[in-house]
Amino acid sequence: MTTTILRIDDGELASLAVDASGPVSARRALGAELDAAADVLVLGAADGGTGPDRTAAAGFLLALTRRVVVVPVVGGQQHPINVARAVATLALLHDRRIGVAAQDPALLGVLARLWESWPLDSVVADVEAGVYVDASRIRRIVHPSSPIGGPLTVPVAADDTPPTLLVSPGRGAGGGPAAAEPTAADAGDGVELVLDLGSIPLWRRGRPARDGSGPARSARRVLGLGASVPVAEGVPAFDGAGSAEQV
Amino acid sequence: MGRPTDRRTLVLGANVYDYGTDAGAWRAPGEDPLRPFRAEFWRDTARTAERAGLDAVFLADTPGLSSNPAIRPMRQLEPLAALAVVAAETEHLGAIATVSTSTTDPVELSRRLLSFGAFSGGRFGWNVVTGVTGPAVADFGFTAPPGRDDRYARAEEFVDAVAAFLAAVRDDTDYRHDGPLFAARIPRDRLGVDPAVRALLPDAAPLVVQAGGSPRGRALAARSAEAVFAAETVHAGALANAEDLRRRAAALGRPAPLILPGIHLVVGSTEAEAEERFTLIHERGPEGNLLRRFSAMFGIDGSRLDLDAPAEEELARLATDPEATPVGFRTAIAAYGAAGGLSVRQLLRYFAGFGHQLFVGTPERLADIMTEWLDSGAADGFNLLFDTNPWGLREFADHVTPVLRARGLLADAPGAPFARRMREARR
Repeated sequence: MTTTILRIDDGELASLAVDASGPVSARRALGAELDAAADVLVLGAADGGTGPDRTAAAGFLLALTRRVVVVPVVGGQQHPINVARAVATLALLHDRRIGVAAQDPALLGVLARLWESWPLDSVVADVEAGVYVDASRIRRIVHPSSPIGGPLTVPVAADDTPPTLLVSPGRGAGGGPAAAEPTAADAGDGVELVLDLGSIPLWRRGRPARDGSGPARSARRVLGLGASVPVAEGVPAFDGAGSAEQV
Repeated sequence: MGRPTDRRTLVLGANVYDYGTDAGAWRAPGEDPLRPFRAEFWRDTARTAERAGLDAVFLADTPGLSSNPAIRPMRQLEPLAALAVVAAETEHLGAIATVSTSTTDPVELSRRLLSFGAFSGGRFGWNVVTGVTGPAVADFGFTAPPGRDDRYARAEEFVDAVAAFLAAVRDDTDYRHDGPLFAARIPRDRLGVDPAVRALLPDAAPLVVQAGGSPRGRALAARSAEAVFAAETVHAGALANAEDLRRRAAALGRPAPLILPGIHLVVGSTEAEAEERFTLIHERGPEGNLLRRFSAMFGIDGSRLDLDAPAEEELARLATDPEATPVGFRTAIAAYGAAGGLSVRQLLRYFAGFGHQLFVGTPERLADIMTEWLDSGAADGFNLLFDTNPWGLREFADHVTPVLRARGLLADAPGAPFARRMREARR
């Protein structure tokens, strides 16, 4: 089965915000339309653009559709740890149906490592024994190229982390000269796929729809990626000392 | 019985706090211990809050894992991500997200808040906090936790910058902010907001909520907040603070913010049933947790506390003025101990509501308290903290809402979007 990827450009994303601001019935109809549109929806462009904030848009669209969304993130805008936390929360709430895209492989590396700071399977949740989590597995990530180490406030499934896509803005995205296409050589730690955003067809309202009844599947499965394998180094975040232990 | 048309009605929010406000919340009998991780939890919360006649779901937050979840899991989910589910599921309910000014940039956050306001149809609020603690301090580029004065200096300039950005979008003019921390100019064609979103202003601009109880926090509220999530435990003190805030706002030529004290509540059909319900969750909290939190908040050595001594004297004897702890909560709890002549042990039980009013009792008695605070001007409504979610919220909807409706304390089905409705409800 082929995987259909469509991109929702900034103007269309803004019009979706207007639609989503209507009654619940309008939002449900929008969700059904998105379900029938594609397997993967990329929100906005690789640069800042004029569309609604992509993490905010992803929060609403994931609540409405069963499809996968890919959120382009731009370095120097939202703080990486805030992005990592928002995407981790959305992954947890929405069947891991979210991935991130960026032009900067280093940014993707920071995000991917932060998703290893608190593995979901460390959460024991034994109500009778009163044991919530094996806190020894919550780590502050240590990496020579970034001082940002977390841990995040939410656990992430270690084998099903949000996919990271290295993108170029692509020809035709802004009408300017074509950016260099990313190559496999650009892909470093944390980069799992390379994608030319300019080659992805745009989604338009009223575009011929497919059968939208398929089940929700995680972003990794839809994008044909295998299980993620933790690689980051870290140190225990809670060592038994300090006020953070108390409350 | 119909509601008298001139009766002021309550503004009510539910501060969901993931599992709930009690440290034993995640272990609530019969509930899924991983429930906040599922979208259905937030959908159910949203529907129940709307059915209960509440105005908003509110989410407290700290940016970063500030305490060990092995002791008490809380403030886990990123608020905007969780509240998007709440807004998507409802028609009228507002969603108020806590976001710290110490861990964000005003232009980036303005765009994000405005986007949320647009998608929600003008049903969004921003609870402005200033804190950053734990490992997050280093992640956000600080060498040490910023002190209160630094945090508030940043917050004051931050809210001005956000207001300026939203005004520039609304008026389709250049953004210009001059200040020591965030000076910037952005031409109107590079504001990064689509005209379709601009057209949703002013309702898409977030309701500005503020929660700080220090003198600097109260000054910030008077000049920029549209609602205040207050920590008040004693009616006389709440009334004095409310009147002070209204005077300060009036002096600045602004409508007074809506004043919404927090109230941690457990209801039962009798006092005994409520007490039993309170204990059911509370006894599941970690051993000694309340004493540790209490000691940490007052910056004192818990082992030196005489639990049977009068709380007022013990706090005067031991308390310092720790920079990093919240003034509003400390003042509220100390005031309650003094007003009731409580021992440390008695005050510790009350501290189950952290710095907020703790109510354990019947719906009728709760409605009496709410009526007294509303009619006297001590409050415009309340931010409700349930010991465990969604259980406590469901009990409220089933047992308290009918009493409030019968007394005419809840507004009829709302027409205007949440943010506009709240702005119009200000005194």
